[in-house]
Amino acid sequence: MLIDDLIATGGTMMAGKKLLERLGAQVIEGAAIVDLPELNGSARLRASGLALYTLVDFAGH
Amino acid sequence: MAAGLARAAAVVVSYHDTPSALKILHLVQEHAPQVPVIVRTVDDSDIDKLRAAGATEVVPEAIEGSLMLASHALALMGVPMRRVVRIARDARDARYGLLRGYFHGADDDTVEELHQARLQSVTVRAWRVCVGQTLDSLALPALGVGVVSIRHASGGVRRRYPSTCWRQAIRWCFQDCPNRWHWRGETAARLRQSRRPIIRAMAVDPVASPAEYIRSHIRTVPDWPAPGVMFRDITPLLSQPRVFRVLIDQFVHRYFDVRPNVIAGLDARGFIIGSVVAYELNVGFVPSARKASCPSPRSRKPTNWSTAARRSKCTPTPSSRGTAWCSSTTSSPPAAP
Repeated sequence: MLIDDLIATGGTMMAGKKLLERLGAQVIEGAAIVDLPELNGSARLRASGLALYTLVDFAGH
Repeated sequence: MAAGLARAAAVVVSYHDTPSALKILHLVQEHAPQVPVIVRTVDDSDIDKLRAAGATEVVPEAIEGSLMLASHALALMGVPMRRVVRIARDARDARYGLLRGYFHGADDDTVEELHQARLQSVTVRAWRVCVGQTLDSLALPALGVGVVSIRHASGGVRRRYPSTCWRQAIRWCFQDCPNRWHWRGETAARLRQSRRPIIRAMAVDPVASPAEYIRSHIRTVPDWPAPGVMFRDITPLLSQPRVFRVLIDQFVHRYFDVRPNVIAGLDARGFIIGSVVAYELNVGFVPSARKASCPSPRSRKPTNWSTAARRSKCTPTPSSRGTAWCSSTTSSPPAAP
């Protein structure tokens, strides 16, 4: 399971997921405190097959 | 009216005699009922009369003078200053509705203060789900939250809200606030200064609504690191032990039964959260970081799998593979805010 403080564009978490999968890990979920849904990062991550768990979201960037 | 009454953020009436103050109050009620009025009086004998005439708050001089005398006397007698301030505050709370409750500070976690109502300023954004609903239908009391007042973007305060439709309140809040950026978590003074609308509500209960509790402690830094970017600073979540615990518990409860083999934290704040969650779940922690932070070149992975990469990442392998570090170049986001 993969954890960070914030999902903006989703690039960092995507990179982490790819890296872990490359190492043979199965990433069961990505977790973050903050999601910025307007940047579509979380949507992109979900589209790539990564389940997400975020606590709060904020508008804007 | 020549003084620009309709444009005023507030009116202060400092006449000594009540009839003159009442005259001004009637004028304000007639021409600009939305403008809050603070009235000075000698003592508290006419408070009810002035309130009924529309005074937002009445400040009796005798009481303020007595409070100051008592504060000095207590301090000279050796009562700790913290307690003196609290006694004076309690006396004011009982007197002034506007000051009731307090904005929670980092060092306010003593047992006594935990039982006090806390004030929290919440900015209502135009797209929030509560827009269009009445205050009653939001069932805020069930969450342990009560609305104290609704502050207009121009500084006006509306306190008689139960029959107010939330939508009207929001419109009222936003009619001269086209910019919907909000300034949550900043001081009331700053909010007033910035003329953003705020709603003063009792603090969110961390048990009933942990997400809102966490949200209310995230600091927003406008225009950082670049103009137009709102930086969401999570460090206040870490500095207050209660908030930190509520935060970590959210993740611990989420993964308590799933119990992943390891938790991977992303550089750098993912390290802070992830390592504590891993410790609580009694599982391993794997920091995942940029190549520059990676200590051992022997464990770095080939970097050919993303030529477009701007950043590289490294991480120790999961525990089953030993502790060697490895890294590989990855695609990366534009500098994340």
